[in-house]
Amino acid sequence: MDLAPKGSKARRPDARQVAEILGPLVTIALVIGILYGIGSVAHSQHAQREPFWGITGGWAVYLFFAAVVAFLLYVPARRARLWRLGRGFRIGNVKERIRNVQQAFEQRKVVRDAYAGFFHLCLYGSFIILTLVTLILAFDDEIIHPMTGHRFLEGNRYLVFKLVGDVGGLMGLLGIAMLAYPRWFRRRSRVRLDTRWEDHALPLLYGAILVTGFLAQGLRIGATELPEGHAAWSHWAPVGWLIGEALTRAGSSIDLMTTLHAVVWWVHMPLAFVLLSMIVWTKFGHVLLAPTNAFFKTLDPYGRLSYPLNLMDEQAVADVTSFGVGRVQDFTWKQLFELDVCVRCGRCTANCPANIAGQPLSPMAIIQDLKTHLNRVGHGLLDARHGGTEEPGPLDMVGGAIREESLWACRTCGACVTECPVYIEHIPTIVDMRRYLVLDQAQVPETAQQALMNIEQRGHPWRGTALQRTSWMEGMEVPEYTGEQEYLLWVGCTGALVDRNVPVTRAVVRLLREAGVSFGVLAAGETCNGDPARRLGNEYLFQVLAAQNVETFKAVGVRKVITGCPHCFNVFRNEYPEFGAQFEVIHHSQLLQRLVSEGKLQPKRGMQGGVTFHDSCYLGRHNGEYAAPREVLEAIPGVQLVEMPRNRSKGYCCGAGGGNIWLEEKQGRRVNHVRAEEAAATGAAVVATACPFCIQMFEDGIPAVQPDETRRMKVMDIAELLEAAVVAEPSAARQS
Amino acid sequence: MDMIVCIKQIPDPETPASAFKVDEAAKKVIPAQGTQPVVSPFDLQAAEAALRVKEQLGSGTIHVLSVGPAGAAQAIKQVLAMGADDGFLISGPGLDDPDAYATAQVIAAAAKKIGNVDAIFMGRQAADWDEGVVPMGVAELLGWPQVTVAKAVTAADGRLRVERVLQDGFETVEVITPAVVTISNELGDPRYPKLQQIMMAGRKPLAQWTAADLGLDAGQLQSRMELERLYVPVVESQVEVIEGESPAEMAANLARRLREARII
Repeated sequence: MDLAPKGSKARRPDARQVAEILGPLVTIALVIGILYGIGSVAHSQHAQREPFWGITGGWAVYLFFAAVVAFLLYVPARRARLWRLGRGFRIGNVKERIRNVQQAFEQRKVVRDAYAGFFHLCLYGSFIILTLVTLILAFDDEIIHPMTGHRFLEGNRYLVFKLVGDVGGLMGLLGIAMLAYPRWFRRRSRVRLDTRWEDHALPLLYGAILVTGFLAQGLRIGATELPEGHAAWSHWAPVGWLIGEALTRAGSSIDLMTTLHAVVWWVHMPLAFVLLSMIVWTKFGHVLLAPTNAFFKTLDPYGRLSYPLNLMDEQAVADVTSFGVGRVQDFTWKQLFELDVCVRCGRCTANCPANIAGQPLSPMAIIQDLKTHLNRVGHGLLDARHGGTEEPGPLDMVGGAIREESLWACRTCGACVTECPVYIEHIPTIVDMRRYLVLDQAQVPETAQQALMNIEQRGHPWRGTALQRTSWMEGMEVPEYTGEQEYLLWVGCTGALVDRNVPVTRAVVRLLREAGVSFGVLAAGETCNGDPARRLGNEYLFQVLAAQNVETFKAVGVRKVITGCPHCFNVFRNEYPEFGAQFEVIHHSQLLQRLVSEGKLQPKRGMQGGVTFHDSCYLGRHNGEYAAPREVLEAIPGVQLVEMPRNRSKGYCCGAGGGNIWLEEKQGRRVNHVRAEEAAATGAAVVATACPFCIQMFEDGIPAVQPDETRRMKVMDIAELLEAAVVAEPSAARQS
Repeated sequence: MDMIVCIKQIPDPETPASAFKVDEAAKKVIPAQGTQPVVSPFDLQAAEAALRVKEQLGSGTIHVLSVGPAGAAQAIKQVLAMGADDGFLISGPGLDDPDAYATAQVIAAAAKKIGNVDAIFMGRQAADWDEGVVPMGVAELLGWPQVTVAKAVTAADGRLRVERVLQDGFETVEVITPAVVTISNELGDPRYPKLQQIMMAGRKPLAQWTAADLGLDAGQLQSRMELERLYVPVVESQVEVIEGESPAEMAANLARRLREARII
């Protein structure tokens, strides 16, 4: 399908096209430069100018430099026109944004993968060192020396400078070797997901620059320092010295080395400028774009999925013709800018639970496909803004460039966002397109539609449940929340209406009673807080429910809320404040941890065997709570905590997130089977978690990977385990 | 084609059994706490059938009609959000809980008052009492043909082509208009409304009529059916575990026990 708008003869070329034409032109110009330089070598053998030793026409460096800088400024300026097709985006707190940029420069995310992180640090360090070395040298030659008659780089300073330069070069070569091994010799690099010429060209080019740099240094040392008796200086540039020594011992004459030096230098210098110019037309641009994207990274709490409109304000939405994001121009410019930042490193996809299970989602492909789509339709849209050709239809993007099943397969688990070294935020982009499918197109997978309609009609997503909101209280006296108690215990739909989760709710209540915590419940007054609706893309339903719940909370004077569900926890903590909610939220794992550490709950009865803890994405990655549930488990006598390989911020979703508990998995393996396998492989007797959805997913997944019922691991909430250790007659007995 | 979709607001049929209670003395269902009434599911499918016909023709009007308490306006809005054009709520004295005959009288009178109607789409039965007789009454009173238990409806040369669900298969019939068609669940899920439509639903016309507006008097709305008794049947079950040393012995014991109970 050809998406290029027709009849746009007068179209101004897009930045990418400009880059694609100018990029090679710059390269050709540089090659001509090389030939010119080499040609001039013949006449330059007696030139002894210090700054460009043995080089005639060295001034060309500055010409190249000016050309490359102009190129570096021009192309992004053109490209920015495409980014600006997007909606507005608020910058806000600059101070905090600068801190995020600092994190990018500290390579915090890059080193999350130890191997790739290490070689990237080498390349990163090397590039910075060598850039600085070159700049200092140029500054010294062209400004300090002509102005003062002295050199900054003299004596000991010069020797240290040489050493630093050599170390920088060696770091770079080590980085390239480590990059090359998996990429070219083992074929297990993540880059294989989507390999392009630049993935080979960039390391080869940088390698060539480093090698020619060392060669030029060695030749100069061999032709000057060694014969002049300054070998002691040369030792400060060990690589250059070794090369110079070797060439001298091999019988190279000074003249030969002088000539070769000029030749090598005329290769080295233009290649360096080719690399610089590649910033604007290859993924090498990340050296500038990644820190910029870190600057634009959202300042909202991690777990918040914002929506720009209040959909209940009829005035505000009266003129809105499309909801969610169905066209590139519905994204914010930050979301469009981000597409150009991606370096296709594949970390998002390699950590995506859906992708690992073989399901049709690759966060990297989403970003790349959107970029391709933007390149295809962008200029047409720009023309249209200036009264030109018609806009392409919205379906070309969602359902065309981006497959619907990819959007639905997302668990919103945050693994991609957490791992992305260039700070791309995939989740809002994916959910924005889901919003378009649901709100604008009413295209919802059948099972999700049933859950959504059930929330609409019955205030909970569990269609067909035999339980009522108060069923779990049977045989227990649970106080109703009156505003007098310290805490409101928010049971949640799942804790009240799903059989497996009822014992967890009862365990929490018993433990709170045991510890003397003052609390009450809303009982039949609870309704869904809207989290599943928001994640599934029905923003309208979410906003209706959020407003309704905030009203309820205000009416009864809620100040502190305990939730047993990380999803409720996240929505209350991170999203309700936008709806005027003012209360503290605590997850039961955090409260139980505190009660145990204060001695109000004393786990006495021990248990045998290992326990492995599965991090819920919405407690862990989205809210940073990894320690509390583990501390609760460790407080139980006899518990041996064993970790799965993927844990804490690298945790693997149970498969239920992003509304997927209500969606069918049509391709690949089931995510919960993959995770259950990992839990079973620890050999632990129990897989513990602190989320009602995770429990359901494991209850379904464990039997699939451990068919033998007698030797099957148990699935327990940490509250159930703690209850068994603290309270005389655990309520789990009710399960019979 | 001008179509009427009749809908009924009923107590949620998915109310958990434990929450279902009746007042035997008053012969009434006690609404379960915290559950909202819903549109009878077959009626939503009737709305879907009408919307598909309208889409097929590319033109037409869909009127949504409900007989019942004032709260049924909410149910009408739900169908307006799916894409119907206007609503008619017929409520007032005698219409809070009319019997099937009275309901048929009201619908027939309303169809005449609306005028120019080519088809009336209804659910095969309301999911509360499951009587399924109102459509027949309406067809009879209007003197129109009726086709029941449809799984697909299309318009064809001013007629309707209707696929019916039979016990052992399907049958396709053509019916002249105006006609009454009742829709079964085999039609498929009703559509999910678009947000734009939900927002427009509040602005679509919704007429409120009483029986008097339709020229019906109290006598015509008199219940012809008398409810004698309303109760929740008591289901008793006893479990007996058959013991035995070996599977063979257990089987023998089971057979003996079944014979004692005169089951075999």
